[in-house]
Amino acid sequence: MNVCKVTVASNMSDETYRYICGQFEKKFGETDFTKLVDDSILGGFILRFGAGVYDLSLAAQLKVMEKELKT
Amino acid sequence: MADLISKDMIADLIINILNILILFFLTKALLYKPVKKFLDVRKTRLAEEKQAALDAEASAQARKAEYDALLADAEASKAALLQEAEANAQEKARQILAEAKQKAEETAQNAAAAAVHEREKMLSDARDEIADLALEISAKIIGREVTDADNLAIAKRFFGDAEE
Repeated sequence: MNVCKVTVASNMSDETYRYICGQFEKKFGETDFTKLVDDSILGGFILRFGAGVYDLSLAAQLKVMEKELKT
Repeated sequence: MADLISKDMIADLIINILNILILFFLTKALLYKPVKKFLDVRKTRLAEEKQAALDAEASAQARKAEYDALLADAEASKAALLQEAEANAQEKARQILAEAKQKAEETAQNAAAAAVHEREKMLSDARDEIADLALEISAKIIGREVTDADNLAIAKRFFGDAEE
């Protein structure tokens, strides 16, 4: 069984969270999920599992913008 | 005439002549020769002394000429040394001036480069500050405006891309 930690902001509903977990299992198989709430990500979510990390948080997008503005 | 010149007178004359001759020869032998010898010796000695004096004078002249030559050489050497020292001093002064000028130019160039760098740094810092401010404002706006619908849209777009 896979293990995955899902980091979300408090503005995410349980329904959206369940959608994310369902879609992940469809792709990667049965998974044991752990939910972590962190408002610093502002929105979106972060998936951390054995194979790697998917960072789809809004904070990450802002970091990309920051890098583009400062170069 | 025969009365005037008697035999006695002739005898006296002869005797006087003999006396004179004897006196002459005695004088020549006892006086003239020693005196002549003395005079000759004296003359020789005087000649030798004169020659010695002439030799001494010649030697002194030669020595003076030698000293004069040495003095002239010393003066020439002194003049050459002074000239060389002056030339060296002028060359040294020229080098110092050239080095100072080069240093001043380098300092001016470094200052100009530093000013350009400082300006660029200031502009870069200003850009960064503006970017930080824009991002801070954006984060605050996003924090207030993000809804669950936005979260769901992000998830659908990700898993839709993942399936593809």
